[in-house]
Amino acid sequence: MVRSLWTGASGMIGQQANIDTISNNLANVNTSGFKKVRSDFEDLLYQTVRTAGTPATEDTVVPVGVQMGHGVKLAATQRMFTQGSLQSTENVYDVAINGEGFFRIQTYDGSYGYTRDGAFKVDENGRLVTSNGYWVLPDIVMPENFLPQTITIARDGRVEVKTPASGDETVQVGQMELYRFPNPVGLNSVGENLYKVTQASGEPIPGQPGYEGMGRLEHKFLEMSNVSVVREMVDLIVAQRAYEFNSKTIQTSDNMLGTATSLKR
Amino acid sequence: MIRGWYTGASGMRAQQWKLDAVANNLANVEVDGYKKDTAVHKAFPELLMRRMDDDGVYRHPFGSGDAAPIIGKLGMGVELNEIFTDFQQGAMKETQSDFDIALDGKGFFTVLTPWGERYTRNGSFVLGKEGYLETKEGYPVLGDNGPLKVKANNFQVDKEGGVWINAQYADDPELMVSRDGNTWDQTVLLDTLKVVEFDLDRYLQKQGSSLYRATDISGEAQTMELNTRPRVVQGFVEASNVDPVMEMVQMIEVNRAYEANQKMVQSEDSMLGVLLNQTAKFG
Repeated sequence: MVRSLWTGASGMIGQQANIDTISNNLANVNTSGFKKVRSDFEDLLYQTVRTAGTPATEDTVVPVGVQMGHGVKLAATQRMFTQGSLQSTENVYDVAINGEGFFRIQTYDGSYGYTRDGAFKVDENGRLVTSNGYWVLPDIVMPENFLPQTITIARDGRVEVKTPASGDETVQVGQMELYRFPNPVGLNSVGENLYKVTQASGEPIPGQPGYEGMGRLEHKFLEMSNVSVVREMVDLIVAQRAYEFNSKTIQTSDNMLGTATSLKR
Repeated sequence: MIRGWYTGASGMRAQQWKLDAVANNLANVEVDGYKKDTAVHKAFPELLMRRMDDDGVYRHPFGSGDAAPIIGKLGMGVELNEIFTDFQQGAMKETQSDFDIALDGKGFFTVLTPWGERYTRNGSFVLGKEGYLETKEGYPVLGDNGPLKVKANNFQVDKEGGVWINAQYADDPELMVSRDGNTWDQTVLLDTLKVVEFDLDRYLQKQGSSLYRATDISGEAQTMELNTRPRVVQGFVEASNVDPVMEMVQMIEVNRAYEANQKMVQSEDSMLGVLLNQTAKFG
């Protein structure tokens, strides 16, 4: 009896975590470069009440044992790195990755972060930075008096811009690089659209956009999140119902406990 | 009198076990590859009741001999006989992840744990640090020739369970590569997923974490022949086969049966109370 109470509770806790994940996906539905997270569950330990194969009588054995499950646990929250849709923004500082790879970002503490969010800006020194002011690596620095509307970022990562001095000629100001990982699922999300390297992700492999399996860059586009609202809503409904079922388990257990208690008058 | 009491109590206990199984099914309703458990009850053997020596002389039931007359049968209650696992196919859920593989039909994936081979229907795998295909607990998934080193975060699985990787990366055993866009000129067959079956798969023992263990009765795992293998589908997972409606109905049934048995224990008690009080009056 008490076992089913806790089993039901583990189910409720699991579904709560599921809904936490889904709600975070839905909250980030408009975050550019966001990759949805999926919760995966596993069953918990089993208590063997009677082992199959133990003697039942002198010449027969118990064919099937009795094993009681103890509920469910969250096994993993897994990020799904499928491509998000590309949206045209007409903004010269926006760039999307079509395919695999991450931009490398240097955060304030000097460590590297990786992102798919290509909504960049230019700081007061003409340097390409993220919305949070982190530097994009390798450095891309605009020349003085550059004409923002003339910036072009090629599919292979070349960044060119015109200045009044250069006239009709464009000046190449840098070459963007992409980084990919043997196992992107193992990356550590740290918020602000950034991922950090872990032992599970493996070391980053640099490359030029469009070559050797790296995605191409799309200038004046942003990658939308890959969250499908319909899918999340369906998952949300399923999770809520599963939560309810488990609460019914607890109710029933409680009911039966009450029945047992009322034995003694 | 006392006998009926314990019969009622045994009914309550059996229903309690049954609820435990139902509760676990409902808790695992969203676990990929989970197979539901069903509790089966069995009656204790019925006993033939004989009148206890009514006049001190044993009589045969048919008039002669020396046995006391039989007055009928009496059940001795119920006990939980077995919890068996129902290996019915679960629904297929599309995930679009290369690492999710589902079996459409009978059979199990083989996983290597520190305690030996274990079997699972949960094909939601991940890429391990060394490039091996692993479960979420970090146990490598086995092919016919040992652990599968897929090395890349994309690979292809055909309907027979053959695992294909990009030919470019096949030669270097240590090279671990990332998704390579569209450069899939040539593929090589790395290995075939080890899909096994058992003589009696309902006698497998659940171990938690979606793993099953072979028992003496289930028999050893047998690698399935190509023509009997289930269809292997990449990009899908098998959802649990728990039907919440059936579980809810069972839960209601359990609850009511529990109450009915409780009423029985109570009536036995009140009858005993009457007896005690009547006796007291004579005293």
